[in-house]
Order: sequence, then structure tokens, then C-alpha cells
Amino acid sequence: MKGYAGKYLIVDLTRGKTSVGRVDESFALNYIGGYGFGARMLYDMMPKPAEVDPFSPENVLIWWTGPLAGTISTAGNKYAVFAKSPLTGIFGFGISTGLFASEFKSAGWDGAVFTGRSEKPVYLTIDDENIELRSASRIWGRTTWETEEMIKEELGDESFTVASIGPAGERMVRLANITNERNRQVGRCGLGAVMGSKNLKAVAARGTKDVEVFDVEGLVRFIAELNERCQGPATEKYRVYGTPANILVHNKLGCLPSYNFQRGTFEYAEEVSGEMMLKTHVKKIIACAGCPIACDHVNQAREDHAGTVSSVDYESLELLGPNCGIRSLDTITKAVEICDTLGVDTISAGNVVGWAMECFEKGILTKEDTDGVELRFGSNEALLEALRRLCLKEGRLGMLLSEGVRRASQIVGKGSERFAMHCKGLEWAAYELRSLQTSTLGFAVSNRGADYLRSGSYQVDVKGQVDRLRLDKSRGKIVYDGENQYAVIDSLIICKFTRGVFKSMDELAKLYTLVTGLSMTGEQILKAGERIHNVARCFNVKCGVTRKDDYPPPRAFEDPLPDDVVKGAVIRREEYEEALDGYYECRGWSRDGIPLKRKLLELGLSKEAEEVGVEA
Amino acid sequence: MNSGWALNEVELELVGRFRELFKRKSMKISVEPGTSLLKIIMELGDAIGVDLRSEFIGPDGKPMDESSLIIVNGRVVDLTRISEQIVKPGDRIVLAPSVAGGG
Repeated sequence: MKGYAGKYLIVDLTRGKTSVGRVDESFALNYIGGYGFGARMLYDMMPKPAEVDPFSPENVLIWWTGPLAGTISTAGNKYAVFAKSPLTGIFGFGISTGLFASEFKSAGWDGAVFTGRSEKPVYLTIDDENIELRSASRIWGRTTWETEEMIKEELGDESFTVASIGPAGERMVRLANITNERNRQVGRCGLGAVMGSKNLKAVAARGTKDVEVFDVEGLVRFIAELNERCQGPATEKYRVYGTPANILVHNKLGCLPSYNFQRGTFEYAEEVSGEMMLKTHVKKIIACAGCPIACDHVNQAREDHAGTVSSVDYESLELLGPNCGIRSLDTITKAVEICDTLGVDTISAGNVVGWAMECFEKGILTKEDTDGVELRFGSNEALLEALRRLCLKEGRLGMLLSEGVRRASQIVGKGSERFAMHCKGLEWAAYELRSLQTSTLGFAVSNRGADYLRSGSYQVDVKGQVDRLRLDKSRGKIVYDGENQYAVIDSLIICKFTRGVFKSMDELAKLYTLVTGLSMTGEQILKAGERIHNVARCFNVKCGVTRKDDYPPPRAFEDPLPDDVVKGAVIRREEYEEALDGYYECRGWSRDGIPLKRKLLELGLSKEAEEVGVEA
Repeated sequence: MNSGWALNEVELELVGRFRELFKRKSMKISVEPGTSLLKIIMELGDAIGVDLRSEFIGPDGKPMDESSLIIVNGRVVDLTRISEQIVKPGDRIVLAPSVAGGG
């Protein structure tokens, strides 16, 4: 079998020992890589996840690349990290991109599994077969950007790529992420905090080997065709404006969350639009390794915070901008820099600060609670100060925000839970809930929590293929199909921006076969996607997840949107229940959201059928 | 299609690459009663020397996966019905690139 390195590293941090695990053909065919490998392994290594404290040594931290990493495959140099999430208490994972996966794989490894906890701060170096745990005492406390530079300097080799945590991860802020190459992150589920809990500051990788592929000529031909398609209209918006192009479109559709999701439009949208950003702030557009699209738009602040540089994508821009009432691109650029260097997820950070601003304006939080910060919507100073304190767990405000919006609202109470915008503890991303209702179903049923990356279900809403202001049973099938496809994409792991470039699942299967030599059809690879999704759901069921957890927050049902273009839009509870029933039916799950034994057996998941599955 | 005929005016707002194509953010256009959205798109394209229809409809006459969007009064137009949809005076039409996220 080609494409895969065929082995992964096992690191026992408690004992400071490493060993080697093997990736066999059956594992590869059934679970592909990335998401699939992580779901399978997390399920197997944590038999009773409900009993595991995410910050305890019993949590397992798993890193996987996919079969395409290190090859010439289009936009396929990605890696994924998994653990029980300290933010959500369920299946946690995140994907990052850049050069890291390519170096890691070229060193001869498909993945790495970290168990236990190091007594003192360490970082791991992977230099082909030479593996070493080194003291991180000198870099502990440093930002992610400083850490990268210091490790390269210490190793005396610029060609190492480094994935690290910042001070937020060290302090176990539940929103902490993992950063590689300054502005690429494993975001969302607080996996940087899991690294911090294990005293693991960073992983540095360098590889000198070629990743062998099965059919070199066939792959070169196919990739040339895909790369050519990548220069077409399907990806133009990413190349020119990057994802911030969404700002004005979402504003016109009334699905641009603002003021903590109280509204679906932002009166200053033009000022923070992708169009404006390109004109005034973008200094550089860069690409990940092997990517012909180049979507990453790097901003430089101009007047306020002059010299500040950060990579600003739609989600960061939206949550730290309109969702907090912020209309200054300089401030947003600075806010992203604070999050990236100190090491927290921009989406979750913008969401929880937006919630706190609403609390403050409603009198639920006072200046005493915020340690004197006048936490009002639109205040540039308040946003930046709140973020800094969140990242460093500084003072009462910092401690509160560092818990994430679900826990913070439970701590504060006073009805603030009603407008804590999350699902399963994961902060809602930058898609308004009431004006994109298929999307809302997709977010709410996701394995990770309120997740915009697992089904692409907003697409039917924004393309006008369904009535986006209503729900019905048929939406369940749309989400089900999207999730299975995305599970394949996240297991191969390729960039979702190429999804318009592949014409069918058969093409994804073809790519897999050209690289690995393992025979795979579109139907088979889609079945693998369904299998992977079910394994992750079974892990969550063991954590206590049922139907009760598959709902959007109360605001979606109770507060009609006030904006002109979608005035009065709200989710009708009976329609949501119908759509959720439709989703469970497609999935072959019970009405309570538990996979049926027969479905699990059909997918070859006999262990899960025995442990989790229920009878019809 | 003449500019400035207030009785039959519709407002056209432009986002993303459409701003570059038209070199403006918005414009008012007047239309004859009963004009379809497709006809307006074709005429706008002719006015700037661009095949604007191809932004929305593929060579096979069907919408494409990554077709741009037409939003009329906040509602996304089903592009399979673009030739049937009649534009009314006072309508607010937005031409925008399709949206997507998630790398």
C-alpha cells in the first residue's frame, strides 16, 4: 500500500518513552485517514469516555495526516488532531494546513498518539526516524510565533515546521488552539488546552523522504487537470477576495450575525467587507503547500495598531467584527493577532466576547464583574482587552471568558444561557441561525458541536434551492448526504475549497486509488464516510449525547430576526423536530438519536453495535 | 434599458467581482413591464461587453455548482426559473458571488 507511511508514533509522556504502531490495509480502507483514523482510534483508546476528565493524563491526544499529505495532490497537505474536548466534553477534533503535514509525513510517519502527562514542559522533535522529547522550559510562556522561531533556532534548522500552543494552551483555556506556521490553526475544540494539560508545548517535524505513490503518471495527469480546474470560476472568490467575500453577500441575505446574533445584518458591513479589506489592508496572499488556489489573505493594520500583521478569514473577521459590533479593520486585524499569538480560536473567542457584551449591555454583567472594562458592543478597546484577558485567564473577566460561552453562561446565569450561542458547548460560527435553517440543522447535529465544517448544508440555503426560512423533513437527507461526503474529504484530508473542483465521489475515490493503489469506488468511499461519522457519534453517545443535544440555542426559536430582508424569521419548533426526525431516519438512528444496531452492523461496526447500538 | 426612468426603476446592487465588472457598487436601471430576470441579465451583460449569463447558467442551460447568486428583495432566486421570474418596479436586485467557507 502506497501513500501511507504505514506507521505512527506512540509517545508515552508520563514515562518519556516512544514506540511504533502500524497502519494496515484494512484500517486504511475502512477509515481512509485523518478524521476516520482519529475517530476509530479515539473510540478504541477511550472505552469509557464519560469518565475521562479532558485535562487528565487519561485523555489521549491523537494526530493524523491523510494518505495525500506529502504527495502532489491538490490542497491535500493537512493534518488533524483529536482528543476528548475540554470545551464540549465530547468528540473533539480540528484540522490545520500549511507545510506541517507534508514535513511530518515526509519524515515517515502517518500520525502520532500522545498518552499520559509529562512531569515538566517538553516538545517533541521528529527528524525522520530520530525522535526526541526535549525540554521546553526555555520556551514555556512564549507566544506561538516566538515558539516557532525559538525552536528552529534551538534545532539550528529553518526547515523544521513547528505546531505549538501559546500561553492560552499552557493555562488550559478551553478555547485554546494549536498553531503552525504562524497563522494556521487546529481550532475549535480546545485541543491546545489538552496539549497544555500534558505539558506538551510543541511538535517540530522535518522529513527528507519521498512519499511513494502507486501510479505516478496517472496521478500527475489527474492533478494537472484538477489544478487547471482550480483556476476556474469555482475558486475565483477564494483567490481574489478570500473568504471575507462572504461578508457583503451574507449581509444582503440577512445571515450575517451581528451584536451576538441579535441581528442578521450589520449596518457597517461595507467597512469590514472583503472588498474593502482587499483595497486597504491585504498585503499578501499566500497558499498552503500544494495548493493552486491561494486563499490566505494576510492583513496589515494601518493607523491604529500600525505594523500589526495577521491572516484574516471570514469566520475570524465576522465573529470578532460584526458579532461584537466592531467596524474597524485595524481592530479586527489586531484581535486576530492577539488570538493567534496567545493561542485561542477566533470563532469561539468572538462568540463568547459578543455574549459578554450583550450581558453587559443588559446589566447582567457589571463593571465589577469585568474588572472595570466597559464591555459594550462596538468598543475597540473593550474587545482587545477582553481577548487579552481571556487568553491569559486574567482577572474575573478573563477567567469567565476562558471557560467558553456555555460554561460562562452557566456560571453567570440570570437568563444569559438563553443567548449563549452554542451547540453541545461549541460556539456557533458565523452563519445566522434563523435565516439559514438547513444550515442550522447541520450545525446542531454535528459531532463536534455547532460546526460549519461538517456538512456544507448552508449551500442549499444560500443557493435558493430550498426555502431557507423554513424547515421540513427533507432537510435531514441534505445534511446526511453532506456529512458523509465531508467525512471523506476530512479523512483524505483535502481542502473543502476544492469541493467544486471534484465532479463526483468517484473522482475522490480515483484520487485515493492513484495514490494508494487500494481499489476504491465512489460508493465505497462514501460508505466509509458514513462509517466514520457513526464511530464519532458512538463516542459521543458514550459521553451522554442524545437527541436533547442536537438543538440550536433558544434564541433560534424565540427571537424573530428584526432585519428588513428577513424580518420575523424564526425557527418553528415543530418544523425543527420534523427535520431532525428526517435526519435520524436517513442515518438509521433511533428517534432519540442513538445509532441502531442494524445500521452499525451494516457498516461493519460490530463493536459499536454491541456497546452503543439500540434495537429499532 | 435607460437609466433614470423612475416609474419602472429597479435598484441593482453589486458585490464582489460584479463591482469590478460594472466599476460601481450600485446603479438604478429602468425596465419595461413584464421583463424577465434573464433578459435583464443579458442586457446588462451586453452593456458592459461581458457574457453575464454564464455567471449563473452553465453551457448546458442549467445552474452550476458554483454559480453566482441573484438575490431579489432578500430572496435568493432559483436559477432554474431565471427566465420566468418577472422583475417589478421597486425591486432590489443583488448580483453576488456564491458563498462558501471552511478550509
